[in-house]
Amino acid sequence: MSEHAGRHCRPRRSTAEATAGRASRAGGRSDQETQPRRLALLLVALTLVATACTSSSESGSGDGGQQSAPKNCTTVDVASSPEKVELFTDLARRFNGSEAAKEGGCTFVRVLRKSSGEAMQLLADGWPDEATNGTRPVIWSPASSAWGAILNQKLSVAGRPAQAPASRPFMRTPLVIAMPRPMAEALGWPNTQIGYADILKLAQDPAGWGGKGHPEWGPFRLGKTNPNFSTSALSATIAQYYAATNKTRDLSAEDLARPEVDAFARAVEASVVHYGDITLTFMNNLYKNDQRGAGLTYASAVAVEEKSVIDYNTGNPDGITDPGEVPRKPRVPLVAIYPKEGTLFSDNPIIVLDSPWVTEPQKASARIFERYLQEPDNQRRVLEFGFRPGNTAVAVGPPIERANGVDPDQPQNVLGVPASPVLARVLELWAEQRKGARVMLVIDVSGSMGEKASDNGDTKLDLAKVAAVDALSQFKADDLVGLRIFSTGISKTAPTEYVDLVPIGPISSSRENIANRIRSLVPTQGTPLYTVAGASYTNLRDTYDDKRINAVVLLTDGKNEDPRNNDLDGLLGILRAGSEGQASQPVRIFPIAYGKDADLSVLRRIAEATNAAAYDASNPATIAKVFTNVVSNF
Amino acid sequence: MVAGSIAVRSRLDRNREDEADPVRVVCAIELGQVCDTLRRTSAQVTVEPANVTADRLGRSTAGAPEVDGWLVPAPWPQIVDGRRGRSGQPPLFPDISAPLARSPLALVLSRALVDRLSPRCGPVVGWKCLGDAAALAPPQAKPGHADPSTDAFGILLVGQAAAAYFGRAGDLSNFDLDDPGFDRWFRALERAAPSPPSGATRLNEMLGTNFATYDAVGTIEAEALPVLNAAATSDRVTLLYPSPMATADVVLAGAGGTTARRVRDVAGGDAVRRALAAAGWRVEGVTRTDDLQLPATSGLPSPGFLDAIRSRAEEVRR
Repeated sequence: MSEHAGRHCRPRRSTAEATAGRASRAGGRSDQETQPRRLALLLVALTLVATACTSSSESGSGDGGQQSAPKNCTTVDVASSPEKVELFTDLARRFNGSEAAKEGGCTFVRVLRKSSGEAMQLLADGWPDEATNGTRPVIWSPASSAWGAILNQKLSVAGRPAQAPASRPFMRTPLVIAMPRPMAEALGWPNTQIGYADILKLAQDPAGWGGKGHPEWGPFRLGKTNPNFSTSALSATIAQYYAATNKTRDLSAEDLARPEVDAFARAVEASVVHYGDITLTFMNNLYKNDQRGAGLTYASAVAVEEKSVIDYNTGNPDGITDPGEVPRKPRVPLVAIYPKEGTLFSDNPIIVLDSPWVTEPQKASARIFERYLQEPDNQRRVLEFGFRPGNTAVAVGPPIERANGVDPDQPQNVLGVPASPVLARVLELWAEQRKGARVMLVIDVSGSMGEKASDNGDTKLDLAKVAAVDALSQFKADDLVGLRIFSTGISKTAPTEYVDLVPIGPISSSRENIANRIRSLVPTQGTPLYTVAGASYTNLRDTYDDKRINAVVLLTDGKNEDPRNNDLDGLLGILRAGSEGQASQPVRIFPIAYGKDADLSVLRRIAEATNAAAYDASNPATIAKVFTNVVSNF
Repeated sequence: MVAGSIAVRSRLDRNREDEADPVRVVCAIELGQVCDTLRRTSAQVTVEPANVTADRLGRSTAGAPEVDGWLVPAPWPQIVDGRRGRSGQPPLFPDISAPLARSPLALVLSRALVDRLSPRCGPVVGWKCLGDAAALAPPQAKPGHADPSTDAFGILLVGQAAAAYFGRAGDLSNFDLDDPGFDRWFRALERAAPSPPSGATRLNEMLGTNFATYDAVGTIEAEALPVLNAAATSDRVTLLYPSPMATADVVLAGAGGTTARRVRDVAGGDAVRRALAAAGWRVEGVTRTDDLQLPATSGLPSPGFLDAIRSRAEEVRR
């Protein structure tokens, strides 16, 4: 915690460290954090850090955008959900230079990016390890107030007082079902009102789009993120249960326990393409497929916030404009379906935390910042980012307009946010009802994995082993998991590049065996990346299970070092061929680029070819977090 | 000259007394920035929701009063004393002031809803009509109001709604709550729209969600007018004072005794009255009058009835 200046300067963590753990955009960018405006802000931040350090105030640490407070200022650290961190950082910078910041003394605001679910869990755990997780926040702004309710529920169960008081919305955006326009039209849009029940019924129909006269689109494929991380997924899961119960409010634990509700939920989850920690992965993959003319066979519908539809249709699927990127509209635009039963709003509350580390002066300063955010000028800024203003004095306007696939006059109804114990139960049940996974963990044991990666002497392989073993606990009992290791010449018999230590099987019976095998790994030779990627992909495709998410998690710290197989284009061709078309049997490869020598650009291309996402763990210390995010896809 | 000296001397003595032994005043959090004004006085101020204060004081068996004064909308002090009386405890507030400020209860309605309901209800859409429309399948209205369980104004609003249903206020009895027709109507009214998950007011929620959450919201004029005057969608709503007209009246309830005068000076003085006026309340002699004729009394059912309907609302919302 850093209420006042006075600590000594410490080195900033690298940008790579700050961005670690997020799914990378397959086209060559790391993620939301590497955008031009962000870079500009980072430069400003670095300048401020330098200035502040030379004037002997404390130094910032933590995540991107963290900086030092001027001397004698009260620092207000804000944990913001990712989709608005750019906006928040900009507003914080303006605030810090404004007269408002001088009210009652001096307030200095810093913004830390945290997904809503991750921040909720950190707060429930007392926000441990600030060096890794960032500074403990004074303000928490998750995407939805529902996260505050879940936090308070967890604290209540643990016999601790609530920390998230009911708070005002900063801005709003409704959950919508984004569909490629032709698909929406096949369901009767815009003349027919479409509901969750209609979409979920289609998701359960074995005939898929064939039942709607479009067999060429194949089965209905639902894009949905992991509700433990993502607000749109949490909202979509709640809506799904409402659809199963024919209710629009007061969802109860008894409702959730009904067998037909359980069956409905499982059937819907079965249509999911794969999960993930952020919706941007879906939007990026959809866009790339669209550019290749294959958009209609990747995902039929994705549960996202309204603003994501605007971003996509303006040719900016992740809402980020990188240097040199000229937004190009998709061939097939998305339309936002506002379910007729009602939907949920992400209300982006500004929660001034009642956490033990938050002082009264910090709370007072936080409220000054909150008032600043509500000023009409600042509320007009939220529109620029595709959100609806929280201050009712500011009218909803462009870009929220029909030309962008959204409707400012929708939604017409809302669904009730369930009581906090029910919300907690929704998350518990989802872990059981989600689509099963069939995953091959493929771990690089080449010589470079033996390099020292921490001050206490741990090697990269040591850290990866701990992270991989921990990640095993996130699989549900009936998931199928196997373990493969690779390095050149690792086996005397063919295939010589990899060895299956544990064949794919139910993790309920193999969890301990896999963990023991991982713990005993030692580094060996070079990196036959292409061979093992291709072979792992082919193995899973040949034994494809259409009831599960079929995937390869490929952890590697190097480049392809196999002179016998340097054919990247050949590999990508095989991967793409198997991933496109209505009859595809998608096997996703989720690479983890581990350490600074990993070939992130190649790994992104491999991920892209399978409509998956690459993860950046260039700082080995972040590997545990990265593994958690990777496993969130299942 | 001598009289002036005595007056100055008396004031100085009082200031010393205030510093040495500040009066303890509870301010209902629902009064917002008025409580901030009170904080800047010599009083020792506690700011909390009226229902929290009421629950604590209603149960208290302490010999000496725990507070010297309570700045709150009526009839919360009467509700507390009523609860205490039912459990054999002496009243806490023998000294309840005349209203320091008043604000008529209001309904903010979307014009689209008024257009939809007018053929059924006539040109004036009130609480009775809203409850009837909410009871239809599917519901034809999404009325909302502050939660009577947790908000000082919530009980006033449901009290006014009940008075609208029965067509009378003064003689409503707890027995009327068991009227089957009322029970159905009230259940529909209370369950028509889900509570917002955030800390936004119902009015902000209605406007901020483009009427998706609510299309009619009961509130007080002091909240409604500033919001509506600034709202980008003000042309899509209409404000009316439903019949029977009722008001929220801010009072200062004193525990009597030796601190009574100091409590009145600190918490019922000009600074607080000006703060109430600045917050949109009608304050005699401070705010300008208009044509709206306020009732001589609050126009609400009895405090006991309001306390009972608060419990009933909690039951039907569960």
